[in-house]
Amino acid sequence: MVNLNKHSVSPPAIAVKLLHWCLPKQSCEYMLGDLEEEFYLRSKRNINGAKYWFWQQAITTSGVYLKQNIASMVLLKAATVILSLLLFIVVFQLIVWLHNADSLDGFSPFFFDTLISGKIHMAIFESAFWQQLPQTWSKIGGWSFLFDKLSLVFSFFSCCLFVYLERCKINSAHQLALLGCIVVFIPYIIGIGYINFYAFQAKMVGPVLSFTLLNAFYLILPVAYMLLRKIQRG
Amino acid sequence: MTDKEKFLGEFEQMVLLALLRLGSGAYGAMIRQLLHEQVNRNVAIGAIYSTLDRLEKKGMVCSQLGESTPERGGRAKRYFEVSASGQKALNRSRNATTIMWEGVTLDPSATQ
Repeated sequence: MVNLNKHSVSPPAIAVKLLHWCLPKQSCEYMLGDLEEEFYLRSKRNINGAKYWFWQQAITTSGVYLKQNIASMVLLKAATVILSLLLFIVVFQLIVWLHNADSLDGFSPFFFDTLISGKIHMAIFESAFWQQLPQTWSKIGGWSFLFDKLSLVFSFFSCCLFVYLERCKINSAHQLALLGCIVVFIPYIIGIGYINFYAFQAKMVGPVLSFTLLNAFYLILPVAYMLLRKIQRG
Repeated sequence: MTDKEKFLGEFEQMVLLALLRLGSGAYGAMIRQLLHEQVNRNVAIGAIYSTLDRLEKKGMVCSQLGESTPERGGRAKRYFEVSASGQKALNRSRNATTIMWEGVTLDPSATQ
């Protein structure tokens, strides 16, 4: 006969760890207590059944709280701040590189084809891109390359549309986050489609790319700010 | 109070009724077992606490931490009680359901 005191039968350690990981600290103790209590009762009848039941409870309970956390505003706020800053820096680096780079030395052999198909974002996966950054930075003579009338006008209207939808049509911060992504990235995606559809020559790709990149560059921070304001207001 | 808050969801009603049935000794494991035994609903403990937290935020239940026992690995229990506002909401939901059921007959073959 198996000794069923709490020292001989214990709930699966990994499942307990999973719960510690996913549950809020303040509720973890009494929830684990409830599960352990029922686990010991069940283990008197069938140890394997009790372990299976505990795993089932751990997975579904973790799922419930993970879903809540993902949906939580705190996470959305953190994601907005981190992702927008990260994106802003990456887009800025791409613009600097596009403006100042004069060779593709060190890039993979297929990178030129990727570049003329408009997929400049692929540069961030090339080690040469990051190695060339100090050089491209040293070539910056002024900041005028960051100003483009057409991109400014387009991003201004995109911003107005975003503000209008935020005030009149969209109630949830999650929906607004999705709309923000669309506003920032759709011109870039359309730009890639446009370049590929018309099979542009290499020298014609640059202006389209700079338009779409500058548009994203102007929009990332204002969109992130409006999203944070929405999250703050609840 | 918004329209959405006026009426309780089915699971919220179940949890509140379980609390009323269990009286002062209502805590997560007991609620889970009661729902499993009485209405054959095998729910995750997380779903019960998530519902209870929501009801507590709405002021329909109140909770307090209780004693710990060795079977619980020395962990404390969290006891729940239905507040007056919770009872009012339950009553409102019952009345609404009763009104809606009046004059309704189901096809016996569909309910078997």
